[in-house]
Amino acid sequence: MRHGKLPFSFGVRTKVVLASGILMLIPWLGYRFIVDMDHALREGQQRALVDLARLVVAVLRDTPPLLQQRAIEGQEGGQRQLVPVLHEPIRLDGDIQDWISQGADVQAYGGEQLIELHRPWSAKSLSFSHAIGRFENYLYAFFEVTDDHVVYCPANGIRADACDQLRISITGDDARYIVAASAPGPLTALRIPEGGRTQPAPDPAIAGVWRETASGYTIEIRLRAAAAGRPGFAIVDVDDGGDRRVSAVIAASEARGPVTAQAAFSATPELQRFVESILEPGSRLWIVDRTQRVVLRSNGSQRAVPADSAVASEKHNDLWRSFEANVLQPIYPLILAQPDERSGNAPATAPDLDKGEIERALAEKAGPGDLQAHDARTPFVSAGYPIVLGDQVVGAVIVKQAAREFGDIRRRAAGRTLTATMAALALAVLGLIVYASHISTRIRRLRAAAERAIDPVGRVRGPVSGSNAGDELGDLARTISELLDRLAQYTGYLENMARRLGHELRTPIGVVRSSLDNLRMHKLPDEMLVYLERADDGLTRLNAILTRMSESTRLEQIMKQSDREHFDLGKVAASCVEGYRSAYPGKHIRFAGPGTPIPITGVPDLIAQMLDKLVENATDFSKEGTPVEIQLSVEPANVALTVRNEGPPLPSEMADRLFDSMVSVRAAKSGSSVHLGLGLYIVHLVALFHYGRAWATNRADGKGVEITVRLPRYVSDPA
Amino acid sequence: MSKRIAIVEDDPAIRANYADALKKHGYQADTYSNRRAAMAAFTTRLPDLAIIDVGLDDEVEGGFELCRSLRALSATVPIIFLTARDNDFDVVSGLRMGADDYLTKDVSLPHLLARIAALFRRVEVMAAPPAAEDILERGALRLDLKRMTAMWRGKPVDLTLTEFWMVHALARHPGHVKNREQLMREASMVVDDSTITSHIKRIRKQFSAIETSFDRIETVYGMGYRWSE
Repeated sequence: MRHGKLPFSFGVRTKVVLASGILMLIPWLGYRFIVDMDHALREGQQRALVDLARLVVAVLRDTPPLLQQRAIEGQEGGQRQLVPVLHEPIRLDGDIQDWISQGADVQAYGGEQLIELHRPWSAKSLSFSHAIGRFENYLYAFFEVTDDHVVYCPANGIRADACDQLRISITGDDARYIVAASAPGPLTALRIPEGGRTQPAPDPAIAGVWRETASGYTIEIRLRAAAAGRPGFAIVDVDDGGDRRVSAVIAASEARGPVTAQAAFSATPELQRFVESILEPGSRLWIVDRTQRVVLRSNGSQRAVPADSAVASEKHNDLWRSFEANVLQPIYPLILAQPDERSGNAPATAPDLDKGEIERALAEKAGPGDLQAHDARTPFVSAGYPIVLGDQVVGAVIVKQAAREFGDIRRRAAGRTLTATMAALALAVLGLIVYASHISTRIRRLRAAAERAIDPVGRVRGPVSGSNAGDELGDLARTISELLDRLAQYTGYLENMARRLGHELRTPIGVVRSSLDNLRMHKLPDEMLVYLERADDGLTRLNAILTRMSESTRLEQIMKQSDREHFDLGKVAASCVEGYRSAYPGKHIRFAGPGTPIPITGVPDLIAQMLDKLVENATDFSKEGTPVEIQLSVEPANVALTVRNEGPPLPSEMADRLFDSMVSVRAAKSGSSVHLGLGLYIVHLVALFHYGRAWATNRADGKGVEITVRLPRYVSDPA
Repeated sequence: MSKRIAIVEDDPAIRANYADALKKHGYQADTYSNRRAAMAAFTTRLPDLAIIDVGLDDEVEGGFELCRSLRALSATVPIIFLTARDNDFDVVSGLRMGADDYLTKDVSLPHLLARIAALFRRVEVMAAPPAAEDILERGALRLDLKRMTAMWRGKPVDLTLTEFWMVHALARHPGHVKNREQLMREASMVVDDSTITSHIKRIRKQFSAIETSFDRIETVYGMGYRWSE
């Protein structure tokens, strides 16, 4: 019997499996480990990049020829670089037409040549086309400048930083000039004295014209070509004369250093070769100068990437690879930081520089480091290292490297960790399920054994199996066995009690009866005889009680000794009913049977005894004048014997226990009949003996109670 | 000379009561409280009749043993078993020991005295040559009412006194149903229904020992039994 079972309940197995969810910590820890390793790898690569940048910087510093000041380069370059020779002199009119007619090489200068920038720059704000040529002893130069704000110098004088201007640097005689205008028309050139100690003075050696155009202005100059080298030119853009701020400077030719008075340098082919030799494939290196101009750009050597990872994965067999490809690969993205899609597996090269990076690299005086915000998802790492000459930052080395290779390492590590933890997890869960199943099977077996240990009559059949196990379940089984033993003892004690009482009381009853009989043999006064009668009455009742008390145990003994036989239940019942009609003269007893023989197997005496009890019960509970109905009906496999009476209904709480021993719903009533609650218990015993069952229900019409005993029919062997 | 009756009973009150009643009715009563004392006396001199309690002091079935010993000493001494136990096992065991009757301790003294008288009468009749016979014959059944013996198809049926009376009650009016109460009255028994059932069962068994297909004692369920012809 199971009590209080919840509508939803989990078995032990389910609970253990749920509890094993804690094991999910293992893959999570593995994931944490991978993430930490990922960071460590990134940091390692970062450090290596910083070292690389520092190495380049050190080489630059210690090997001066690699990093040349613009002045020197300009000188040397001037010797190398020849100024084109013109066939005829240029008219200084600010018009490019005569340059084109002579086939001059007009070159465009823009952002690439920015050497100084203090405002947001665009091609519209400052860019220019430039052509140069030599005719006899004169150099001619033409500039068509695009400038959205043309600022002229004030009429009272030219200032170096207050208006749009052209700066000229002639390396040969080390002269520098500012060419500007206060209005469109003829130009003024100022020679800037050495060291800046005296005021710039106009120099007639340079002549030219300033002409305004729709998009800016043009400058055409002529200067005496005393010097052998090619001069350096730079267009200085001032957008607001008031604040005296230079917006941007673009240099024509590579001549800047002397022109801008800034520390600038350029890369030599040796430097380029050196950088390429130390750069790993997939890495890019830039050297920028203080003006953020890129002096050197290297994409590293174009060697093929060694197929290390491919070789490594060859070691795994096909099964593993298919498992990795089909099962693990889809999982990695869920837990691992993946490179962006665009760079995922494709190019191994890092992207181009952006301004922020350059600025950060230049700003990092104190310590170089990662130019990126730490983000595990960026596909590359970058490092910058400033070039410091004296105490001034003159430029920076920036290195970028694709982080893709880490992806492979990481993925392999992740794969291994994942596989290991998942295998461990699967094993653990499997083990737990098996163990939980084992435990739950044992518990279920124990429960079934405990249920089986008590027979339907409530008697203990025997000890519970599985009590030889050494663990808690074994203890439980032993405890249950012990409980059952005690229950058996108690039940046995109760059962024996009735029998023993019967035995033990018989002797004192014998004493009383023989004493009374002896007394009666003497001549007693008549009034004394009344008391003898009463004592006899009492004894008779006492005997009846004793008889009833041992009735069920006697019945069981009869059952043990009786042989089953085939007999007609209908005949036995009909015969019994005849007897009841004479035994209960005041009651109307109705009998309804099928009329045909109903063969069953059993002991007719017991059936009669059972019917006795049923009818006795029904007559006791039936209302005065109402009939007791006995009905036999044949069902396919069974025969149903129903005894109905009209009277009080069954108390609902007793319905299940009615057939138990010593249970009675009778109100304590006076009278000579003795009821110990064994009547229906005997019905139950007899029904069980015949492989049947007894039910007590309230009648469908609500008038009373009906008790049905269902017994299997005897089907004669067709053979 | 009065008959000597041995009472072997461990309960002193019952012992004394029975002894008093027997003396009052002209018997000589010797009382013993245990098996050894009784056996010692029996070996010296046999009683005319023995009333033996099954449970004797610490010997739960000392009475059975005593019965067996006494039967070994004499095949004819009537033995009445008296016990508090009334279940079938005791009945069957007691009868196998060779007892002539079997009574529960709550039997009334008049009933007991009637049985004792009947048993003595049977002994006397058996000893004397058959004179005027009192015979009841029903087909193959022949009841000698003097000797209280039954014959079936000419062979003696081994019945106790109680059983003989029950057969007699049934056979006297063949076809008439005798209910349990009637049978009890006829057999001078105060026992419960199920004891009658086992007596009937034993009677049938004894007849079946002679004729396997014996079916004259018919159960009328809910009413009783009848002798059918």
